[in-house]
Amino acid sequence: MTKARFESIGAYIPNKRVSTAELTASMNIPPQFDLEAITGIKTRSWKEDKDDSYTMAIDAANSCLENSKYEAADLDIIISCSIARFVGDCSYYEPPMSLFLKHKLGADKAIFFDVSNACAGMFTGLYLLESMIKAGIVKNGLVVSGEYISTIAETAVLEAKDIYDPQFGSLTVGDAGAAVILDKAVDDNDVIDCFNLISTPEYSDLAIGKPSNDSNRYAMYASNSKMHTEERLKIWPNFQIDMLAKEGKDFKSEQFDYIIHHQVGSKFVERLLKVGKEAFSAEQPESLNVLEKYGNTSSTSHFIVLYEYLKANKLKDKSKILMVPAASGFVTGFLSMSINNLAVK
Amino acid sequence: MGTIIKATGISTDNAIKSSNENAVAAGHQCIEAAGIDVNDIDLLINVGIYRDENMLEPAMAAFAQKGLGIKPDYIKSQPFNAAFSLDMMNSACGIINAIQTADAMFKSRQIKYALIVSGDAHPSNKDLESFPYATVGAAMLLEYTEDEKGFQNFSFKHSPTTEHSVRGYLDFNNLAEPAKERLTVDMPAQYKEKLLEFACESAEEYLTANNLDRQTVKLITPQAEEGFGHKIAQSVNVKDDAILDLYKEYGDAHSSALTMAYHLGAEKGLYNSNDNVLFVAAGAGLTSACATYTV
Repeated sequence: MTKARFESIGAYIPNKRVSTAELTASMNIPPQFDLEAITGIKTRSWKEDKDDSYTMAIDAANSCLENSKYEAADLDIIISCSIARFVGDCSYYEPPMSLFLKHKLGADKAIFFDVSNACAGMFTGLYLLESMIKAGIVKNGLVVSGEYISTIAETAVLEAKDIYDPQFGSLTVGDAGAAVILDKAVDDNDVIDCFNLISTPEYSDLAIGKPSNDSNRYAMYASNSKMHTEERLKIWPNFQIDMLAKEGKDFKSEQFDYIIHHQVGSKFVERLLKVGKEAFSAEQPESLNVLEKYGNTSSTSHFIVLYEYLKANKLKDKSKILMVPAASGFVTGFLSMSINNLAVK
Repeated sequence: MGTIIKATGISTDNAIKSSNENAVAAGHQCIEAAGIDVNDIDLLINVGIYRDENMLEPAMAAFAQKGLGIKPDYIKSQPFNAAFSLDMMNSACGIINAIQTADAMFKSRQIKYALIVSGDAHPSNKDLESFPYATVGAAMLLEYTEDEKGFQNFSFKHSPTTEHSVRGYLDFNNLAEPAKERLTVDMPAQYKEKLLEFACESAEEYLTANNLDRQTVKLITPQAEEGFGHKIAQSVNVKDDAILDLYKEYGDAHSSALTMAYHLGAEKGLYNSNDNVLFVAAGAGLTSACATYTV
């Protein structure tokens, strides 16, 4: 069966940074905790006045097209995946963001839809697109997310009380746009090897994003301590072990060079690496992170990491990369891929 | 080989004001009608647009998956017993995108059943005149068979600009109500007229391009206003005896409209084996989506 590959990747990272010190200094109730020490996040990327979900998606898509052999007019499908869908001060339900993007980019023949799946939005878009390429329904497609999510951090600054506050986690987020074009793999050097996602909504009420009860902004209410129990974190390795076993493989034999976890915070990534090491009985690959600079850019976070490492030319040739989503819902899984020619200009 | 409808369900109870509850109620009815083991559902797509409390995350599909008891927890399940759920949004055309996506998943992955649910509601869960859509839910269970039946020839079309489109959004500049109960749906005066024109044009192009027999094909259409389906049928010269006028009773069921029309039509025995049923969706954009379903 046909396989898919990452043909190109692009990003838009706003120039504005908001430091953890700045953010906590402006909190209504002075924090009794060292947020930077807990999360490892020194600064987070932050939307500039000109930015919204739409413009960040356009800027990321254009960046991706600059790194691609395709023009917008060549695209068979556009899938927009951001959590909020802001055009100006309005968050849209219809028409879909993907239609606005299609018109602006001039992707005349592309079919389109939006997906919404919390921080697993881009993984979801890629999962569907990979299936469509494998099934021969499309030849290529653009998965894009313009993630303007810092509004929940602003709400937390006003409303969060302490480390146990359900809005505490919102202080980690940053804004960014990311885009990926997939097409058919032509060799084994650039290919999505294995890609599976799982939703386990037993505890879906533990992380809810919606307008605040107390102010005119979105807020995120998450019981991180309950959501990130060791049992919950083990869903990823247990799921990957089972899926690999179906193909007669195991984690060690996959020989991953790098692993990219969701950029929620350094302690969270460390815990996942530990859980992975124990469950797989294998050393974990080198963990790639940009959270210190950009924070948790939600649906774009793994792709901002990949983009930054490619841009800095820090990945070795013929790399095998494992990406692990972790999103409200709870959604996890794994995307493993080989890359060789994927490059950022 | 094709993706076929195993069963459908709808929820039209006026007492239910929540989009999630309607999606789950329709899903229960659908699964019960199919008589399948809920653990055999591997994919759940919610195509509803307007959410309770303007919720951003998780996906509303997560609540539907939990509400329907579809493999909610991996640890407690058997290995490989995993499901994936997501929200897909494309106004009233999302149902066709979701069917095409499920078709791709059947062809490329080992999934047994895919469930598509929908439900729209005003975020306040109140009946408000400013909300132009019906608070109903629908569910469609799909499976893949080796027969030469099922959905084929998916086609999508959009107008050159969004000038005449309905626009639904949460406006953070408008402080009239708390944001979790606030919604603006701007429907231009000519929207429904333009939508009808666009749906007719799309159906006409599709019928011609796919060489469908206009004497025998049966139509499933949006119900944006009274007589909408009949007008489309007349415009494209297709018999309209299989079209149910649902607007008077239910209003505009939006993301649930096509599933609901199929469900009620099937109940009335309108579709026979080997019939070609043309699904025509049309909504914001303007956007249309067509697919042929061979029963």
